Amino acid sequence: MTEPKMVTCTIDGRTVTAPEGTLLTDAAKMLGIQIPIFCSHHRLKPLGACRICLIEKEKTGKPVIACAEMVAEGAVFHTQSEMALKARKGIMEYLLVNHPLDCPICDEGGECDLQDTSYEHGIGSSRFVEMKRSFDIVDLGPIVVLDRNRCIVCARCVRYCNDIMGDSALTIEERGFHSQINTRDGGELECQQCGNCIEVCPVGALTSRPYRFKARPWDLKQTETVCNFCSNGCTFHLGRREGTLVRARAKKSHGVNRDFLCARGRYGYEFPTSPERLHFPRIRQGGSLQRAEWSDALGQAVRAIQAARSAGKAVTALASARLSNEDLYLLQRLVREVAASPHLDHRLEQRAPLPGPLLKSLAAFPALPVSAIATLGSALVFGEDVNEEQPLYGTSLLREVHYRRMPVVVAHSRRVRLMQEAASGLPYRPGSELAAARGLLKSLAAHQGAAGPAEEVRKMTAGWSWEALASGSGLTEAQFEKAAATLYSGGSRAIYFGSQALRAAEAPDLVRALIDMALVSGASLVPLWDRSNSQGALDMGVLPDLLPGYEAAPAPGWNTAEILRRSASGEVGVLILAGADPLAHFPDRKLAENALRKADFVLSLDLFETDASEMAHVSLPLRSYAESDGSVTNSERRVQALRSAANPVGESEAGWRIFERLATGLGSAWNYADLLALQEEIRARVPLYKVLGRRMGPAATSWALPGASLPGAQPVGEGKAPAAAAAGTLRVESGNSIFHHGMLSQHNKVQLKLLPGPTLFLAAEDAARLRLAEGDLALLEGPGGKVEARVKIGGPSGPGVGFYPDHFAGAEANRLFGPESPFADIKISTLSAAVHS
Amino acid sequence: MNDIVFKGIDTPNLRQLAVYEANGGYAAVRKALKDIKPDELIEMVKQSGLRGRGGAGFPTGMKWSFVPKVSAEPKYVVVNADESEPGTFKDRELMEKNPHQLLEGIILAAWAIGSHKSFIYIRGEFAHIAKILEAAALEAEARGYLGKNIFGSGFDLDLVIHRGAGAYICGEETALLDSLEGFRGQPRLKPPFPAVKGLYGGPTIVNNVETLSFVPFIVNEGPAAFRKFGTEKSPGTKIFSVSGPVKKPGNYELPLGTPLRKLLEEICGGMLGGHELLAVIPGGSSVPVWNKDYLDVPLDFESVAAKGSLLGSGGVIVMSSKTSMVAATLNLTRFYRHESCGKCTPCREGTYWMEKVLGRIHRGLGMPGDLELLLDLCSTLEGRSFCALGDAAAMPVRSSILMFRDEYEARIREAAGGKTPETAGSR
Amino acid sequence: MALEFKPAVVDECRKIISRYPQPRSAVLPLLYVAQREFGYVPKEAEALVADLLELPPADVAGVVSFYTMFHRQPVGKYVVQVCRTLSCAIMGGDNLADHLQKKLGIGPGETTPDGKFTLKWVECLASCGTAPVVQINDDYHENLTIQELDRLLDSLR
Ligand SMILES: Cc1cc2nc3c(=O)[nH]c(=O)nc-3n(C[C@H](O)[C@H](O)[C@H](O)COP(=O)(O)O)c2cc1C
Ligand code: SF4
Ligand code: FES
Repeated sequence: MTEPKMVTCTIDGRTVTAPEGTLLTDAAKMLGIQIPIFCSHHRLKPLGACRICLIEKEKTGKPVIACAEMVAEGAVFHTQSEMALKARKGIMEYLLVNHPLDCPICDEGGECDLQDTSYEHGIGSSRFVEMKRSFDIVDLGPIVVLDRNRCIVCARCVRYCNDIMGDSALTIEERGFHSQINTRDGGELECQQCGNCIEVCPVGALTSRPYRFKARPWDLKQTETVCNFCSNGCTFHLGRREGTLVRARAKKSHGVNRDFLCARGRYGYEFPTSPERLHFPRIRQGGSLQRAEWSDALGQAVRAIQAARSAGKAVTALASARLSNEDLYLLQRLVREVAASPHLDHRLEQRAPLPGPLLKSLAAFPALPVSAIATLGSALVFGEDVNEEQPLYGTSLLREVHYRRMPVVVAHSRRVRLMQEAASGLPYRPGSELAAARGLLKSLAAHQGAAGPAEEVRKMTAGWSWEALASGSGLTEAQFEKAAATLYSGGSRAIYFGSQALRAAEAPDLVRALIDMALVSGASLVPLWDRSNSQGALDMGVLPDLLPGYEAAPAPGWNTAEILRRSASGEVGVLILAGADPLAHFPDRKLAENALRKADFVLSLDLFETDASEMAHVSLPLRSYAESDGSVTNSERRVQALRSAANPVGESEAGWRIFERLATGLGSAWNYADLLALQEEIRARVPLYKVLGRRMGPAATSWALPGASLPGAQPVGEGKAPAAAAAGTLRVESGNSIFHHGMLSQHNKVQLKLLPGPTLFLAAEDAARLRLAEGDLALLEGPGGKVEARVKIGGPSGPGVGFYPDHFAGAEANRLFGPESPFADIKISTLSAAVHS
Repeated sequence: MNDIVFKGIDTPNLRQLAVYEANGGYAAVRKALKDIKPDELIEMVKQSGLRGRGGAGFPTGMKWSFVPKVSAEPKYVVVNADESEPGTFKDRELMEKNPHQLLEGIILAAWAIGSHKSFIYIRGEFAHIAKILEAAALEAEARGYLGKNIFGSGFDLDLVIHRGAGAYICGEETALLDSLEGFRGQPRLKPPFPAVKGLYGGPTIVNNVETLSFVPFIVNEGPAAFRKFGTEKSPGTKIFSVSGPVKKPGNYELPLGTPLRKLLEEICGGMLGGHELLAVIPGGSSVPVWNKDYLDVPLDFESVAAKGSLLGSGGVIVMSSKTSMVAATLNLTRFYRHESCGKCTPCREGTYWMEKVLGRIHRGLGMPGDLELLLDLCSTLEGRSFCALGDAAAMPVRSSILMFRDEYEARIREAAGGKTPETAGSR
Repeated sequence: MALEFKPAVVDECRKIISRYPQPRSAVLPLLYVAQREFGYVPKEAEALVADLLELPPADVAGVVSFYTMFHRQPVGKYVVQVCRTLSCAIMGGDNLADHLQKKLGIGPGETTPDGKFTLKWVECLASCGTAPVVQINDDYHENLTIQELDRLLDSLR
């Protein structure tokens, strides 16, 4: 890309130099000059409607709007001249014509742009003496309350919903001074319930129903920390009132997300202060877990580890990738150094976890911040419903598709949201990721010049027949060609892949093909991991074959499946479950049950009672992220600070403190004065993490593995064709839905309103074929067993492929799907028809 | 009078292609597609000095020349047939009586900029005229005068007649484009200007019906013939639509620069019996009003502007002593309040507020300071709104207070008990 | 109660859509078709149009309500639209409006109980030279006097 031309102009007597095309509002900000805005928003195209940003431009004779005016060489602007102030004051007065002046009772009071700006412009009352418009206040579903009386028709909400989220659930109806926000029919919002409309509303017209009347901003104790759900790592402020978390809110200037949050981030704040949290250590006594003292519980665990070691049995650990880097680092030290065992992992869902060398190759690709999407030339999203699983990436991509028609290729088994709008889609058959990837790789190589990796890949792929690739994936050569052409039509490109690719039965081969694609096309390669700290778990070496910092382990240990298999066959002395519940997440639930039953000793650390914790010998209450200090690393490898926002629940403890106490109990001389001391050690041991520590802010830099060499093209064969779904069944897949994440969110009341329980999403035509209606209770029978679920039409399903989100105890996906593959052909029968009002 | 676009306008059956052609129709297109290169055509229009008849008076040839020669996106010609400026009814007569002249103008414009798809955006209320245009287009297409391979030249032009649905703002060219694309008809930010990025993001010229209707003459007779009429800076003729209590209201094509007195007294035959001239709005409701002292102003863009008003669309609204200026201003303010698209704050709230204040003055409930308030509201509207509708709404208010302050003050002084005057022009 | 377009009407709609480079452009023409078919544009008709154009229904709702010519409630057989903008007002349009309210016994936006007439105020119809003007359904009636208007309405009774 060419360097942008720089332009110099003057604002309030000071000169500023900015790239051509910079908006005046941004140029002013560079000088620390704030120009008020209402309708403008950093994610949205300029609208220029509210006119509150009027400033003077010399030689124009009338004021100009700073939100749409661009810097121009030699131009002179005044934001505080008489003309500018008079213009803005006039607009302010107009804005208050129909706006109530009752700030003290408004939910936005104290956080309102309109209030602040009117104060700044010295307006407390209006010369308008007539009756104002008046509307009833209405609920737009479980999340949003609309008070049209306060609306200033800036259209931020409508445009955000449409342009950024792709939902178009809101519109402006009528015109002129009758203009008002509405849904399609005045009823509930039909959308992802992300609540961003509330966030972008500059006044109190859209407010949060869950938060309504809960607190006033000044009663809240607010702490900035990082969302614990997906690996986007959004920064938010958790607001606490009298010991309870009452809201999560992002701030424009903070974090990778700035002011964006998805529904689960925004409404997932309840579980840390849920009354269901575990409060005390428990020890198994006579078949059940009984409350115990910490010292006794830890003592039992220490003795169990000692016993295992002296019996020559394995000490193993499975960790949750929601734990902090500090927790994870110390867990691996405990297992490796104190228990002298190489057997640990954090990947529970993956059927074929990636081997160390492959992970190292991925880490050698330069990190790519999510903000880079705004300037990417093109993108490929492979095996990831990016809007459902990684909403920040999803909306960032969608925005570019909407605003500059960025060429995007989406490869997924379902016609996911982004695919519907992308220039090119590769809707492969469920389970045929590998064939699809190889087809695309072959096309990509065919397009590129003679030399380099493309030549190698061309040789490798020469023998692959289009017939086999096509029948293997359900796609055509022309589709692959179009996808390749689309990816090549932009300048800089990036390839994203996620959970569907990672959970595939042939994930390692698939990732090899993706690496080859990136090398051939010169694209960045970005894995979108499942959990908030999956990246940290890799970096900290919570893996059987990599030490912290991607150093190969001298003697590789067992991965999750092996640990459970060995345990089931009686080889495991101790199984530590650090926030991990293999019963809920490991694909083979029966094996997991056996493993827990057969392990000599199971130590569970968790926030809630889970099926696994109830099978443990000792259960310890773990602090949640919201009560913890530490760090997590997101998918762009940004190391971000967790800060405790709530008081610890009961006697719960931080993970790293528990591991430290176990280690000292086992005779180690560990002694961390505080978290900083631990972070200092991590910095020293893991050079990638030199950013970790005292000064780590929300904008801590991301890291890249230095000097690692990229692997060459991997010689691999063609993919296999999955057979068509059996008659009378529906092929169904699982994953995270936008309303929940993993199992934690089932403790959140608001999220339960959005998706109350086990649900089967399917396309309308499939519902018709299977004689199912929205709201029906259905029995689903799959290779893993049976579950009951409500039927919902649409959602993240696609024609011919249903979706079963995995969030609810008692109906986990692994009770339905077999261990073999992440999709299955499910028999569905109606248990009771929906009750229609 | 009626020298160019209205020439032979009342010829029987002129709507029929054969009649139009017998009177010299389609000669310009035949000639251009064969002998005039697009650039030359643009140059001709530039030389003619033709200025837009939709209201802004922008030089047409210049507008066409802004369209990039090569463009990745298709280019479009869009005809503004929204004719919704109060007091203006000229495009309607042009389309009703001589649709082929417009079609010819469209083909010439498309040839000049290299467009193969054109739209006539016609106001929704003109259902009957849309039908006339449809019939004319069908006939032209059947004869190979429109559509594929026009006159065997290899040049294609598809024409779609698209009805609006009742919104004055859709006459504003960018709101028109949004409406045509299927959105709420609200104006777009400029730049980019439509000539660079217009309909569907492609380079687009938007021209008024009357403007395009002039083009065949310019091609046939040459720019100089056009310049024989009018003034140096406002060449040619223009249709004036005269309404109000004059003896012969209607559309008249006159050389630009014709004095207002001539139009009203000679051509329209003066005022109706019992009416005495009070005020004139010379260019459609969106321009400042004059009192009767301005009868000798020549009606061309420069002269009218020099006297504090605008030529606008050429809609001349005449008011007599039977009209209350407060009521008339309230009427227009209500119009703008009703037609404000609601996108920008000053127009949305300002028209609402101004109507309230004018309303109370009109009802005899005015308060001291109301005129200052109104003038202040005008100042916070003028030059501050997103599009020119905001300015348009302020102009009648400011100018009528300026010209007829006595009447306003009298009403406020009398204010006692909310008596509504009989005078027409309010509701 | 599912409202539907007849197959022939769907074909007509598809033909209209095909004339435009982007389907969305056909939203006004399709709403006119809906209004012709159902007499007005009920919410369900918005959904039909949204469906044909693959548009979010909220977008169609925003469009319908922006323009004045779509009836969102059922209307009478004759929609009597009185221009009330300046030129007509000056030339007697206001008197016509007053007269109509009295004669029909309804206010603007209302429909006579027999379902015959709906009264509407509209803005400048571009007929100022022949003011006052009343539009009844698609037809303009110009230079109207109260007597002529009466005769006209009586002929429609
Ligand atoms: C509020 C507003 C309403 C307008 N209405 C019309 C109209 O009804 N017809 C028209 O031709 N131009 C109208 N215009 C002017 C158009 O924006 C545009 O200048 C014109 O179509 C350009 O064509 P021309 O250069 O041939 O005049 C309007 C402008 C504004 C600001
Ligand atoms: S001035 Fe503003 S509200 Fe008025 S019509 Fe133009 S954009 Fe719409
Ligand atoms: S922020 Fe500039 S007009 Fe709204």
